[in-house]
Amino acid sequence: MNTQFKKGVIEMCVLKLIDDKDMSSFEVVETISKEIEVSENTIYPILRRLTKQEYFDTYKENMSVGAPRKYYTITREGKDQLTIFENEWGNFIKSVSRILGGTV
Amino acid sequence: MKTEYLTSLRALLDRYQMEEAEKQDIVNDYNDMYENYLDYGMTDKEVEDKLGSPQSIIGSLVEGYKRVPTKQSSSGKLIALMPFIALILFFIGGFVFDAWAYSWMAFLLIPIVAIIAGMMEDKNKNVLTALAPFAATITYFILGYRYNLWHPGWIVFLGIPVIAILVNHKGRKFLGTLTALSPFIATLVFVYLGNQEHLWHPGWLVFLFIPAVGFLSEKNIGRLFISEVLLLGGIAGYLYFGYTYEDMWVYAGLCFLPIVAYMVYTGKIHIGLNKEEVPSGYKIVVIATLVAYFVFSYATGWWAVSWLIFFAIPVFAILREVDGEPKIIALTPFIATTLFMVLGFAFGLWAWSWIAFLLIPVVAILKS
Repeated sequence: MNTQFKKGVIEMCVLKLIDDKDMSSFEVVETISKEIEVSENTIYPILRRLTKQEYFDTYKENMSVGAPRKYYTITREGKDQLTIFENEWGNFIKSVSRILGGTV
Repeated sequence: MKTEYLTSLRALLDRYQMEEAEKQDIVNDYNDMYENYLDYGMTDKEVEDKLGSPQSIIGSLVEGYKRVPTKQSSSGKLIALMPFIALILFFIGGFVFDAWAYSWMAFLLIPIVAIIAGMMEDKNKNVLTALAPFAATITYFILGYRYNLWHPGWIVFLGIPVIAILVNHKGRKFLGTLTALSPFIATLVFVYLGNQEHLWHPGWLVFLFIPAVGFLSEKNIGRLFISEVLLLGGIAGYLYFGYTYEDMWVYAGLCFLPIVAYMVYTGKIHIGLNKEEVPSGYKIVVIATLVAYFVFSYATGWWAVSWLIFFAIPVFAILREVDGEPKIIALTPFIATTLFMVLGFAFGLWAWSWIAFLLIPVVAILKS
């Protein structure tokens, strides 16, 4: 799969996952990698970029064992962006299906 | 390990026009992620594989940031001047001393200087590993041209994985390091015995040095004693019966049955050869290389070039231990030597095949 395309899709997945539940980068990697091959190396820069674009806020939570963990939580802007992504993705999938189905 | 990782990451971030708070935030995040993975029981090596080396992740972390403009450092100037210095040395060596066979090696100074300067700047501890191929190539050609020791001079290339293991021995105890080095020591002794004493057989017995060292990591003194006695007894018995009854070497091999049976019985057939002691992969590569060397050499009779197969070991070490662009640069001596030997041996192009070595500075310059 084209790397840029994959990055874009993963960015949308990250927004969706954190919209469902606050997560640490470790949890995001674990969850996405059940379906798509990703590493911390891919996810962390996306989380940083989305945080910089104010789609996420962060906070630290102490763990019972080990170092405190940074959690990402979605903002209003993040939710709006996710809605835009979901609409674009839905339209994109419909268009691709029509082309592949020969109904264009 | 964590400190080195974070220091290296920080040094790379400092090359970009990024706010101090942001750099610190990234380093703190990596510190936390590193800690989290350690909490999950991973080793430093596993964590670094998981997170990616600083050199491999920096690109995605600084996307959109400009590099800090820097004044040409003295090392940068030297790197820029090296092609000219090398060219001058090449001609002086050739015209003044008529040493054309050696003087081309002056071009190796270009990648060597670039690697030293680059890796020192990144505080990369693998600088020795990255330089070892060049040192080995120079030594190999001196041995070859001056003493006609093309074979077994190639054995200097085995020094590369040895250096890689020694450089990374931190955290590994002496016995672990010795076990990791034992395949290379055994190969060295084996080739010496074969070449100098024509003892290819039963010189191969030196490979039993590997399990003999491996057994030493057994904590149970009783088992350690029995293992060593059975192994050494097997060797003694094999040699005694083999030399006493010349045509009985195959049956003499039965002397090793007790040690094999004992290892199977105790379930310790992997004693001393577990992951902690031999870096994973080295063992397989060494064994596969030895098998490939003998199979290919016997099948084709091309002993003069078949030793090139042993390049698989240092190449594996470089692929495993060296990160980033120095990896490609460090691999070029092997590609160049292979081209040199194959063109020379297969097509008789010895007069031209040395040009393959220009690949080394060319790649280094392009990568710099």
